[in-house]
Amino acid sequence: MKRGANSPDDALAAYVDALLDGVEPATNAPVKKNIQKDLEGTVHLLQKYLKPAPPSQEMTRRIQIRLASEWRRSGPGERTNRQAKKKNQQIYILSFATVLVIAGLSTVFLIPDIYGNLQGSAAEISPLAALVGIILLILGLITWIIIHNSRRRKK
Amino acid sequence: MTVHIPPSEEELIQKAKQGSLEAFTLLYERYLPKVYNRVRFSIPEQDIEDVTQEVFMAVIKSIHSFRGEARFGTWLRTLTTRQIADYYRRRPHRHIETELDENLPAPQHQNESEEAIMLRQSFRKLPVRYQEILLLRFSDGFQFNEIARIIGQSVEATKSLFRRAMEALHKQVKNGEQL
Repeated sequence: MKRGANSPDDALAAYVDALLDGVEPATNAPVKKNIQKDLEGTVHLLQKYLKPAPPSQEMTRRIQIRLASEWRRSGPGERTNRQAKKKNQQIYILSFATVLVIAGLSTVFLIPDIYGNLQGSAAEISPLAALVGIILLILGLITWIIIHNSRRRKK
Repeated sequence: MTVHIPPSEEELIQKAKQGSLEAFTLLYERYLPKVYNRVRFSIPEQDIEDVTQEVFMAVIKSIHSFRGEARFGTWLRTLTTRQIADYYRRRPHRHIETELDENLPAPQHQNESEEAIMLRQSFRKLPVRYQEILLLRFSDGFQFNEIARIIGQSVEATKSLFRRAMEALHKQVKNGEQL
């Protein structure tokens, strides 16, 4: 059912609008005649007490002090610093992993040549060098995979 | 003579997002009355300060994600409503505490009239959607068409909800006066 302009809902809304605009409707105004008389008092109460009011200065200051301390600990500036630090850490670890892989590959492929040249015989892979190389290679790969996965999860 | 123009809300938000405590403090001072008003009409006296503070703590934690799609005031109102809801979720015995609260002296509003205290107590007994619509109109100053958009209803349904909220509050106030 469509309500008319003079429905109790519209009348009350118009009355509140007028009051909040600073206009007290005259006693015989249609708006005033149509609202339930007993709601008028409640509207006035709300108009009087529901206006935004600041808390006491003491409370304002207490909250402000705690917020400032929280801001320094975990505000956006601190967050940016932490993110930058984390990013740097990741870059260092990735570089370290790359160095490990390169060192591993070098140990496996270069040392036998040097070893072979020194011995003056055909190149042979020293078992120890091969083992160290393979361990470095595996460590490097594992570190790289862990970092790569953690980055992907964040995205 | 130089005229000091206060920074716009957008400027303050941008600076706060970049880590300026000064900008955040200005936002806090600007919005504290509204947040406080909402909280004090919804939360028992002894917890008003804590909940008001938690609203702004939530701002600190999430201001980096505020993209400006909605107005800052709207975003803050959502955070306030969420903190109030969280408060009652953490404390399921709301009504018992409200009753207890009524017997406590009001430290923040010692000079407040009995009328104001009675209104606040009656207000807290209303269903949340009634509280919300009354706050939107009287405290936040939104027009009925704006409220309709905020709560996702037609203007007619909004006015009807408003009248029912007023009637429910009137009944609570009358009951309070009789006690």
